[in-house]
Amino acid sequence: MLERQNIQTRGFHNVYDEDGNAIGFQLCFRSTYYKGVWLSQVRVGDLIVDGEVFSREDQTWIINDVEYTPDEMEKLGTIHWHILDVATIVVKKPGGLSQGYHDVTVNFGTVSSYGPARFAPQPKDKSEWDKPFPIEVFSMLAVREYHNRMIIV
Amino acid sequence: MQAQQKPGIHRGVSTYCWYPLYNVNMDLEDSFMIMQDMGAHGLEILADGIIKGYPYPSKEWLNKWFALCDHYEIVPVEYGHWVESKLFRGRESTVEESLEQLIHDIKLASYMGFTCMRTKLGVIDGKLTPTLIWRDVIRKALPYAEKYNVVMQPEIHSPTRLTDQMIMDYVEFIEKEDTQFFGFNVDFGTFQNKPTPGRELPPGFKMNPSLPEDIIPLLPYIHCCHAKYYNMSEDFDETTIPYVEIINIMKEHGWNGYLLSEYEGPNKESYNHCMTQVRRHHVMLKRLLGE
Amino acid sequence: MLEYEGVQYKGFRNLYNEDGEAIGFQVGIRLITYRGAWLSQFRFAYVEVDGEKYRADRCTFVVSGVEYTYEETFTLGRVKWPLDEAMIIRVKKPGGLSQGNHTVSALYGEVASYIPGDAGEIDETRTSHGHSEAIGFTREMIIV
Repeated sequence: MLERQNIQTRGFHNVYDEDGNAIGFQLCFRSTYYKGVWLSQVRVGDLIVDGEVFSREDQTWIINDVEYTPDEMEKLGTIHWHILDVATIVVKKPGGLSQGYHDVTVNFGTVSSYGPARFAPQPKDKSEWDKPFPIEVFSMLAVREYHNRMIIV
Repeated sequence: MQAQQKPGIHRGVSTYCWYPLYNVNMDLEDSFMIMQDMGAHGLEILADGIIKGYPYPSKEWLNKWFALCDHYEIVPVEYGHWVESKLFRGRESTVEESLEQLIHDIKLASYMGFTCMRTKLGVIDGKLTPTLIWRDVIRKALPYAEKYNVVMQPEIHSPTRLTDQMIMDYVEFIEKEDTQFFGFNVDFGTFQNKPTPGRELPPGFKMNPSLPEDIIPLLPYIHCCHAKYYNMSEDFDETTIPYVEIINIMKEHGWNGYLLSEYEGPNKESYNHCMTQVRRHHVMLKRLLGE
Repeated sequence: MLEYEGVQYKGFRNLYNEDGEAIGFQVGIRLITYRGAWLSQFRFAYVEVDGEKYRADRCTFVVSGVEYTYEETFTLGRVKWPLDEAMIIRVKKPGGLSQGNHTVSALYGEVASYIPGDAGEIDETRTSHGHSEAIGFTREMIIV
């Protein structure tokens, strides 16, 4: 089952190497749109925790149990991310996150073939989706920020 | 499948009505139970929102699908899918790539028992003009649609009007190809002439929505419709769309097919709100259809 | 999946015989607690629709697909009403319920041996009487 909001509280924890050192953290994220997307239509932006920015290079996304970099996903037009599945976002951060409260923001967008651009929110500066992208001039890029306040135990 | 063969106008539901609630408050079987409660047997699914493992569902999932359809007397009517034109950065999908997606969906829709497809084409402008290669893609898909006995239907959706050039283009194509396997799904939002409470009408619709009679010449090409509702009042009236006129015209002209409820009003995250709205909608439809 | 409320909206509809005549209606209920109940511990007072009470003599109870009379449940100490399953109450009412809005409530509960008090029928003047839950739930629902 899913939690209603995009950033799920379930699955939010630090990740460790074999020696027990925290090397980062992970969280589960879902799209609340009404259809899934092919991986090539996913746009990964900055992930921000308490003001610290983790760019797309710091992230890998696990979808259907397979781990991808954002660059790898953009080439995969035949692998589908089902709307009712969460993606696990794994973020590199030596030492992991501290115990306690964290404000988490995920910047995320998907490409849609059938919606004109005027329904789209304005893309944000410095993000990946600002690059020249002629084919998406008329696409509905549902680029949004998603927030949740969660606890590391 | 008996209901499908009887002529006349039948009621159904699109899973779009409840998409924010899936796997939070309800699952597919719950949808079927609600449809059984309402005597609304026709179903539209959004393929990639409902089919676990889409586009390659497991045998287990498909077996469960058939068992549930059988148990709840569900008639699979329309399979909602997308032909993705913006699949890769910097370029539009080719005819071959579009066809590959489309043929796979035709086969899967047919296997699952659907007779219609809501074929969502990529668009190139704010009037929702389809990609320029649409004729080529659809023409090449027609033999598959015929073989697998499913009708491809773009959805005519606000802000498109039934009198727009795009519709003329579709009709011309259907006549030229002399095919019964391409048509359209008219979304009743195109008739919206009053605003949804708390929202504005789409640009241009304050003066010129589609008129109910605009549907008359198109009826032969329509296999099912999205019976859009934005606001069902307590006394079972849809307050934004001239339903009485639309349904009367469809009845008078002997149209056969399914009206599939599609809720696009506010408060979609509230389970109780959605359940009240859909039941009100079906009370209205039942009365208008004389059931 | 279950709805949060005790009275379930899913499943609320009229029932018909083979000739298509409405012979009654059905409504689901669920236990809002932390464990299921043995059927012998199930206690039922009534389903009420628009002020009219339908008591056990006009109802049957469907658990895991099997239909029981209220009396039959008394001896079923090894049949469980699972916590995650709605019980469907089928109510005899010739003609069924009218199309439109209805106010529906149900008063029911289950016996808990670890709570003091007798384990008889529900005292309709109290909400708890030897039962861990004996609560009335009310919901506004529509017959299509």
